[in-house]
Amino acid sequence: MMGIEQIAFLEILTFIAGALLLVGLGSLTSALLQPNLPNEAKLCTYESGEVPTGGSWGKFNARFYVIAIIFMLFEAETVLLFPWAMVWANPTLNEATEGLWARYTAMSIVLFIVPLGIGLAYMWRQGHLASTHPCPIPPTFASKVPKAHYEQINHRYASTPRRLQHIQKAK
Amino acid sequence: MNDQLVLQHVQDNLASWPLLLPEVLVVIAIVTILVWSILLPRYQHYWLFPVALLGVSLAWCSKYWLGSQLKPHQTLPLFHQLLVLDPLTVFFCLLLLSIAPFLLLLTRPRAYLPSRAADSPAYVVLLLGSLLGSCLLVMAFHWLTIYLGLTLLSLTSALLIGSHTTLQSAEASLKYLLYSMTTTAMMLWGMAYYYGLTGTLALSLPDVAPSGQTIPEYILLAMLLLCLSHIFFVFATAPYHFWVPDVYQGAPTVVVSYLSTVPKLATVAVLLRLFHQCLPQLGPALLEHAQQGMAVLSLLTIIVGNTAALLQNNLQRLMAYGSIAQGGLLMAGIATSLNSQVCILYYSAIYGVMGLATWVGIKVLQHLTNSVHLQDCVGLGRRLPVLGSSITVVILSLIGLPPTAGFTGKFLVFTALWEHIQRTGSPLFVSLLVVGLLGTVLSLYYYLQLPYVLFCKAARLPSSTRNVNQTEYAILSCLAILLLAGFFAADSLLRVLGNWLD
Repeated sequence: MMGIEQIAFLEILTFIAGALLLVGLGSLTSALLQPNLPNEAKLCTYESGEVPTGGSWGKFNARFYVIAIIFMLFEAETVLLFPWAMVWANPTLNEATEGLWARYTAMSIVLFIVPLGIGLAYMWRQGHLASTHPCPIPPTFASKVPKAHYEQINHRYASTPRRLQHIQKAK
Repeated sequence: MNDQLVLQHVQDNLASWPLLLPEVLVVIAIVTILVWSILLPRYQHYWLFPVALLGVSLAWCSKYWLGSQLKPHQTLPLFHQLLVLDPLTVFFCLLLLSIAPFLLLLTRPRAYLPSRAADSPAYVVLLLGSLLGSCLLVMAFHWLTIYLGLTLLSLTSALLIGSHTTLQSAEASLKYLLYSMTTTAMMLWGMAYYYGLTGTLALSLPDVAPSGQTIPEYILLAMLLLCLSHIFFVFATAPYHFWVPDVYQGAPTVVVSYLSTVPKLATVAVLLRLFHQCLPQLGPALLEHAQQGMAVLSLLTIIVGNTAALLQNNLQRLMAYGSIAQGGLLMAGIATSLNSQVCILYYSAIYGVMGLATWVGIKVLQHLTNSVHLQDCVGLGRRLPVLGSSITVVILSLIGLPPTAGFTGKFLVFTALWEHIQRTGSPLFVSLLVVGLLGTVLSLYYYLQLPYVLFCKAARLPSSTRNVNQTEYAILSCLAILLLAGFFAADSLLRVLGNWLD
């Protein structure tokens, strides 16, 4: 006979198997049913409606990790809040304790969420949420060549379209 | 679930909160610092450390008060035996909470902190968070709380190690994080076995599986080894020690003085609880085998620590291997039987003081010479006799030579080992004793290098113009005096400890 613990492990296994099965079946069905007509727009990476620049395997800036961590944190919070709400409003438990249960669990969740909020406010204040805006540092190099010379060169070559340059040279 | 039982559980949880007062005070200090720095980020350096110090000292006082309310041999389970409050807990928590002010004082001089860390309260918050994790770990009586405490402790440690903005610091932090992730995974694996076999994660092991069969002993031992892997990692036991020299070299020295004291002492408390409270209930055979396993690990640790330390000329790496060897001896003490508890408590207190003093000393030398190599400290002891003699006292204590507390500590551990040998006649413990003594002889060589260069060689370099930092100097001298006092007042200290436990 199996004890309650082994059944708990079995439940987890069922969850994993169920998840794999559902995803697998879904993709298999859609692969069988869908018409396969690729074009350039369909195959390009989805970038929230923006026109993508480069593939999705490109390097991302490391400073996004703060955003990623905050995202994970609040996702974990949501994951906890749903089951908490179920247990908090459980009528049998509340009747058994004459409302003490609801008060105690409410206190627990407040103790959980308030520090999380303080953490978010702290990050905000420290400027971690704004870190995705790049702040370019203007170069401090002072050239000995006067700026007018550069502008002269720019002006000379900018006035001729590129495809005409070699014709001009030939002349 | 039974109605009456639910009510009882909730009321029990509510009643447990006041007994958690010291930890709650540390949390309040953390939250205060964060809220304050959100609202009034200016003048942080004025209030940051006073608030943290106040929080820690209030926590110390309340813990002491709670401890004095305990009756002899009383064990108070909190939150349904998730945590436990007994004299052992109170002793270790008080020890950790008394180390914390030193760490805060050491970080106080702004010159020592990298510019970014000094301006942000994150450093202090992380230090307090790590302290909180250690206190939880000491109180833990359930694998879940052990996991919680260890994770809180090692994650904040990884961040603290990386708090310098140098490349070495970042590398050390990453190494620590990777090792700790691996060992945490091993621990969780072991805990999964534990739950599957016993039906509970409570620390008091039932020896009968829920299906009614007795669990085979080798499975229990393998499971225990897996479960303890993260603890061994934090404690730097032999197969898990590879991170120590690199991290101690790369991390800021204040953080190293934290790493070599607070987390290690917290894990000592867990090991003590396991080996002296939980395993004996499962019968002598299992306890004996677990003790033998522990003895093998501590044998390895002592050998690795002492031999590797012989080859170092970088002070930080030398002390890192030295501290591994010291830890091995402490483990040997834990592996012996029940009646040696006072000795281990004494040795772990001394271990904490020595660890702190070593790294404060290195910090002072590092500041004076701008280097961490032995050759660069030449002749410093002659120029600064107080510094030289304090460091010499610390070194003597690390070796375990007479006029210091290190001698008493080592003597007590060896006595406990000898008693264990006489009772069991185990050849493994005989070899452990021999290796421990040989290790002490080896440590004479590598530790005495430092006093030798400090005093016996004339300075080659012109005297540096850098001033000694007064706070560090005072702390180092205090710790050295404490180590001397630990030798001369050993009797009364041991009596106090004995009274505390009984």
